[in-house]
Amino acid sequence: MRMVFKNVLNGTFDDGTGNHWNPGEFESNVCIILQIERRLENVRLVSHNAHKRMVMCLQGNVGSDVEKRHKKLPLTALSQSMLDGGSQLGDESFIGKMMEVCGEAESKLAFEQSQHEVQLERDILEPLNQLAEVDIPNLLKQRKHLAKLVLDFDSVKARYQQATKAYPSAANAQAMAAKVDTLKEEMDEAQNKMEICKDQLAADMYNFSSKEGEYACYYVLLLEAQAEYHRRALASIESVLPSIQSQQDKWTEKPAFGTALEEHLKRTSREIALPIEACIMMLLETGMQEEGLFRIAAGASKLKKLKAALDCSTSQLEEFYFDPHAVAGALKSYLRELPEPLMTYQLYEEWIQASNISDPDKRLQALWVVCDMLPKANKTNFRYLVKFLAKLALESDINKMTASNIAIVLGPNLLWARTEGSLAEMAATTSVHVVSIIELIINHASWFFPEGQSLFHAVSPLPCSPANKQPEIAPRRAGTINKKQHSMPNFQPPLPPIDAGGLPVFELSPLLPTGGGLEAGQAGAALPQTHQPLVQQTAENR
Amino acid sequence: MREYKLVVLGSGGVGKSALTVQFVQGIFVEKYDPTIEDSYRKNVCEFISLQCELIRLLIVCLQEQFTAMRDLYMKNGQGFALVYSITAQSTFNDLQDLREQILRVKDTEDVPMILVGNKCDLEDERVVGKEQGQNFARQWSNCAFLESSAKSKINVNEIFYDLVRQINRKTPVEKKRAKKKSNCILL
Repeated sequence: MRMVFKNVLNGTFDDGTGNHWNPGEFESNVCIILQIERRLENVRLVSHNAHKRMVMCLQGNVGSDVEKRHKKLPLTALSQSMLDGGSQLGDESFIGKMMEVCGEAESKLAFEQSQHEVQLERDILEPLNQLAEVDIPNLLKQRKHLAKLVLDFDSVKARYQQATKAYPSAANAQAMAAKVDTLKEEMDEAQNKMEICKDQLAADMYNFSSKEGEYACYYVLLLEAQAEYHRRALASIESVLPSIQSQQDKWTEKPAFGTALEEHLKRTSREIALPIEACIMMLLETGMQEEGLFRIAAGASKLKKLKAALDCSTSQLEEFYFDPHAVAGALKSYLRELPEPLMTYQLYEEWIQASNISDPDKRLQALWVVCDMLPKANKTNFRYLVKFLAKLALESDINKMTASNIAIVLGPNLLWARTEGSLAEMAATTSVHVVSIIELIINHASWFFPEGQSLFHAVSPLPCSPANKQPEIAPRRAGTINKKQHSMPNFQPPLPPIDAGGLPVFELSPLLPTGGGLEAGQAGAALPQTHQPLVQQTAENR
Repeated sequence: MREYKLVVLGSGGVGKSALTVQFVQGIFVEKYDPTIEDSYRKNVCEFISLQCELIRLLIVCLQEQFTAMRDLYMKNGQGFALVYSITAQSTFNDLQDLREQILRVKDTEDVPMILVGNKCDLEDERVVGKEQGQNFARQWSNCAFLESSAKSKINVNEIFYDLVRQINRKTPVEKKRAKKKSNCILL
């Protein structure tokens, strides 16, 4: 458009259609008018179309205010139904809570959207509409008016010229002269009107043309408004998202089973892994005198149920107080499913080497050193477990699970080699080592872990046990300790090699049901007592 | 002489070792020690078709943690005794998985096998009925079934002889004399 004007003004533009404009001075103007006229029609059409499509992009009703528009948005409906759902489910349900919080966020988003739409309408749609439906049609109307004036002028001029031509030879010269004068006046007036209108139209056209940049701006404005809307929408989402996410993290019960110990402890901000503590608490209540605890397999479905219940800690665990084997199975299963064994891959070699030392005192010391090298989380949980196992072994008169028995069934869940699974023989060797290690540690639990005698009293509350009030457990336990004292080993374990600040060695005495030797006579030579004969027999076998 | 590799499987504490020791040595073990793995040998020439047969018997403990070894024994074993305790329902339920695992490892439906309900002397504590065991065995393509007691010496020998007969039926060998040999090996 600009180019056209430049050309026109320089007088280089030529247009052959303006023939009826008699005076040559108008020719260039005619060109401009025609050019602009054609363009006007085009602009009107495209603006009209653009306006139509833009309205279709809006989700609210055109013309309503922010408030009303907000109510009509689909997003508002979504947010409303989320809020309703939230209040229906209530605060206790995590889904309900999240629906509520997210519903509010959606409502904010809807508000942003309605504001955005109102702004679009005000700043872009309306001006565009004005342009397409009012301004340009007005111009076109004026153009038609001008054409009419031109016609008027042309006809009056023709009549005047005719009169002028006829005037000298006319009979009634006086009347003719008056007519010529009148015609001249009429012509002048018509010309004047035409000129005014033409000037006006030209001015309007130039005006339109100069405003084209402004009109083009609407489209830029559209994008800017959209950008601003999206920014604000994003900001409103981002302002709530972190808190929602943190709530989500807090509420989400990620499974304990199969999760790395460190991660589980961090997430639940516990010291002792939930399954370990929960199972041990339950076993302390009802399982200590169960024959073959940890040995007898639990019902598969019960075990599965308990594991799932432990994974979502809100569940009630009461019923499992009466199924100690399931509880023991779940504990075993938890230890087994840890991505890394509780006694760690890293110390695997150290453990095995320590257990290979033949001198009993030195072996104990070496094990103590390795035990001390355990990462803090592992050590805490291992200690907790060992303390419990030692307690369990105290009741071996009743539950038949001596330290050695416990070590056999539980040991392979505490330490395994990284490559296990490929070689059965290797698994067997590992088991033998692990069993001997665990047996020693259980037997010397309070020497390995002198601190934390009252571990089992200072624990977080668990679902109340219906068997809490069984009065006979404590006395029986005491009796067991007394009975067991005769089976003290004939050596005193040495002090830990590292300065341990005066460890109370005497604590050992009640904790030493060695399991070996007591019933050896009954079994005859058929069954090996521990791993010790096993090595010999293997040699014999070859 | 022929060696039979028999494997005794079942949950912890059902009496696998007790049955085996009763069979091999004729004593009932009162002890309650879990087995990691034991291996026994017994010469049974006087029982089976007048032929000296050396039965090599393996007892395998079904603690979850010993799975690696279990697979190996399943591969090598020829006959399987699946033992549950009639006093514990869960030990009975576990056997279905165990059988499926054996069939999978062996890759055949036809595996010499016997279902054993042990501790049948503890009639007072029974929770798994005899019919239950029989039905179970019937579902296992008519697997053999016995109720036994290692303590009261009921059906102990029958378990192992039945397995040996099943193996003989499946893979018959020409009879030949072998020198008498009896030893016991512990692993």
